[in-house]
Amino acid sequence: MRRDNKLIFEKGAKGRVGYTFPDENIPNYRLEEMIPQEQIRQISPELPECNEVEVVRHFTNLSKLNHSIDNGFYPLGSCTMKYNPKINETVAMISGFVNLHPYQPESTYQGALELMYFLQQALAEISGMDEVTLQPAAGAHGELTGMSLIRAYHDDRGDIKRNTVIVPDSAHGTNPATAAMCGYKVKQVESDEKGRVNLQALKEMLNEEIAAIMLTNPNTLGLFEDDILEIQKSAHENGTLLYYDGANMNAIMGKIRPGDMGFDVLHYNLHKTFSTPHGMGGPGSGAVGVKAKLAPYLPVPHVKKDEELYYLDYNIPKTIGKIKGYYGNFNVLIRAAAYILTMGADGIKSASEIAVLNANYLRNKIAKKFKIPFGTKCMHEFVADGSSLKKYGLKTLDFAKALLDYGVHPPTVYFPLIVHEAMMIEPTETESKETLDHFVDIVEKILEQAEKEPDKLKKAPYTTPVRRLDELKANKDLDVRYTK
Amino acid sequence: MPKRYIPHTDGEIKEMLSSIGAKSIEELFQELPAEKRVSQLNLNKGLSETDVLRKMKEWSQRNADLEDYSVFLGGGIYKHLIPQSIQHIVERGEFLTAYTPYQAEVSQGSLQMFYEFQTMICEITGMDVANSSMYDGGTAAAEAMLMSFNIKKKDHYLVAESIHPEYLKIIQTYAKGPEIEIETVQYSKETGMIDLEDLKNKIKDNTAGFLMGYTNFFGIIEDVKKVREVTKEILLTVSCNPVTLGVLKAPGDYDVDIVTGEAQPFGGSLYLGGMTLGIFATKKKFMRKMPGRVIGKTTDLDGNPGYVMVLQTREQHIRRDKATSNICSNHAHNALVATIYLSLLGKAGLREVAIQSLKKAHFLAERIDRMDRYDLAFTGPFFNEFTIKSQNDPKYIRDEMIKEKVMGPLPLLEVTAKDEHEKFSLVAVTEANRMEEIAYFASRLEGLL
Repeated sequence: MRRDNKLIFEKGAKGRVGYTFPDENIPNYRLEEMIPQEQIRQISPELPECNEVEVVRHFTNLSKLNHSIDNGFYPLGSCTMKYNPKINETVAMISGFVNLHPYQPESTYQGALELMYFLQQALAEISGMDEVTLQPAAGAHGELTGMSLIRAYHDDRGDIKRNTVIVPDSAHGTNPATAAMCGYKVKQVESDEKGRVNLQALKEMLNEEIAAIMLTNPNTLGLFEDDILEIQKSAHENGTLLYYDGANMNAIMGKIRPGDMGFDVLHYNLHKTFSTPHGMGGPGSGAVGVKAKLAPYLPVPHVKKDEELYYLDYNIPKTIGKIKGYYGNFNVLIRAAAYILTMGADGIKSASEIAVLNANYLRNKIAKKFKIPFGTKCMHEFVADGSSLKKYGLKTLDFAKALLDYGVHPPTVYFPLIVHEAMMIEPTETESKETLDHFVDIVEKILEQAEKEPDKLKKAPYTTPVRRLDELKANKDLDVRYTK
Repeated sequence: MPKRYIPHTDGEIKEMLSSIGAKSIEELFQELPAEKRVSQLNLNKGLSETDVLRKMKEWSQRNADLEDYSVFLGGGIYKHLIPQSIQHIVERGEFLTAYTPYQAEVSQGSLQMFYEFQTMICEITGMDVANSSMYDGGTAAAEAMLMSFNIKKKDHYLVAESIHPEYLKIIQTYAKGPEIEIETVQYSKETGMIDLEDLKNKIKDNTAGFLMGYTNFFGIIEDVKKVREVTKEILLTVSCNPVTLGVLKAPGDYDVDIVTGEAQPFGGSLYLGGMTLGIFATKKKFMRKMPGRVIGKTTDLDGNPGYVMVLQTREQHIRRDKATSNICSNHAHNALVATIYLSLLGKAGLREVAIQSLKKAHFLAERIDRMDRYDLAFTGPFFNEFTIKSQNDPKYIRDEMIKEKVMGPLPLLEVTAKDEHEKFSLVAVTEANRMEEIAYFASRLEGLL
């Protein structure tokens, strides 16, 4: 199907509308009677003038240009692109959840509070934490909340020398960015030859200035940090707290809990591990779990239960304050609660088991095609090195673009930074063996093509709605809005 | 195991294990320290679809569904009319289940939509550039504070006391890390507008900027022109309800530096305040200091137009601890809702929503002001929300109204926690309030003993 290149602004005709309001007898005040003359807008914003049919077609046709989980395989490492169950959408549409105002009295949304309380308890159980707040809007926002809690904890103890946070060189970019936003200096600890945090180097870095270590376990190479108990012991002996980036929690649910490994605070990505849809980049939810020692600093309000009544607790004297308006992304929370109800204890555990099985199965097959620099097995994801493509004059990027022609979303590429030409592959538990086998077939075909006609691959993709796009030009001649 | 989402048969699991050379799934978890392993999670048993639906219905039935109420609550989240077609489009899996558009060639739907969204936000706010969304109005305002600090390299920041109280609290939380001093600027107890003298007096050498509401939390339309005149040396951020800009002069016309706002009213449902959409727009010269994702237009190998993420070198995945913000996921899907809403309403519709809300609010305010036991709390001009002062306790009024299936007004004290607001209530009116509802609200209010 040919793509229609027109923007919504280039469609429609003057005077067309896509709405109908009730016909009412509204008092006929003049604008100047209500607002100061000089504050009345003289030029209306240039918005589209389309009817409902045009708008529906425009956006339906736009949607067809997207790859999504509902279309096919999406092994984007670190993003846990598992299937987003449809029943979650049904329940998120229940009127008694949709039509609630944040400032109606608590007594009139006890069911919503109970749902949130249920979710807090379930998440605390899954992670081995004592308390959970559902307020943060996204993973990075959870990190900001968690690191603010750590800062509040140290400050409250008068331990104000702690001005530095350690992150591994394989960490997600949000980790150092968050630490910096919380006013911390960032020090990077290197990975060792096994792809794990270099324990010795880490121990040497620990001193009275280290406020926290941010880790994800398994790490971004998909490897379990097997020194974790030693790391936590050294950290805690030094008065340093441990932050767990929950991006990779899909590997360990029901098997081991971050709280039991000694982590003091963590964020969950409900839009990854707990199946809520990513919606092209959000909204997600970055709920945060803490050990009891950090609970006094939780953001307000916190959902609590008092005998039979649920309520929002604002009385947290040492709170870090508010982190987001109202009470978190409630429409995401409903979906995550539905997922936990559906899966239950055993299902949650199976999800992680099969996620790890799928990753290892695929790893084993891909290892025959690409170098996998670290480890012999993996947790929920693994990182392959595309450097071998160099002999054909190709890069990981070319390989990724070639995958698009086969209807597969490429892995996360060029991350983590410690692997050259990285391809980070996370299949998730919801993909079948056929899908994985098919992916391996595609990889083989592309490699054959790379050998035979490398120049053709340099210009892939060919079958997508657009061909390879000029990012340099996009950044040079910045065009970030339409003008007539 | 919930077979519905996990396709593996027992036979396949065996086959896959043997392909890996493992005896059991458990073998794949051997590196986890044995002494810390968890044997059984204390969670519910997995439920069937029917039982999940039943449980969710049970919870939802313990809420007062505002579909059955007249709603006069606002405070940043508003009930507007929402065209039915929006829900049908946004539920499409291609939008709902796509990730951040890292692979532009298979994300043109998302990317073109974001470009359209950015254009609409620029048009409405009168600014040069906008990003593709933030979490909400409060965090967008906090990011504007951080951006002002980064541009000016000054660590004192002023916030109007009349801003949304939750926004102020969020800003205070965000200010702790970089140790920015937040100071509030008073409002006139008579007009409800920013006290310009107080503002002038509080601007110091190390002041980076000032944040104000337009409209403010009391519903008052601030005089941005006068504020700009006294804030020439610092960065001025205006936090808005963008619906009002269908009628009010665009902040860009006052030469403000940053515009933020809460765009839930653009087609978003109430969701207990959990379906928010932060907007963020600025001047071209500050574009590289802006947080969040920005989409730009370019061409492909065949010369056809296409869209990609631009200015990524500001962002955390490239710049790490030097990034302008740590934001990664944003509120993309809510931006889709807003883009479709604005496409359906268009030029005429946005103006119509603003004018109807304005007129209906003024009609109600006039009626209330004439009542013996109620007065308008402030004399400043207001848009579709206004503050009233009552002889009765606002909580009593609110609770009595609920009995009549009317939700609102909001006892101001509950949100501001200021004693001076003990007798104040905030009333919000939009085009969704029918004239007969408004008349009923007024008569019930008048009838309260």
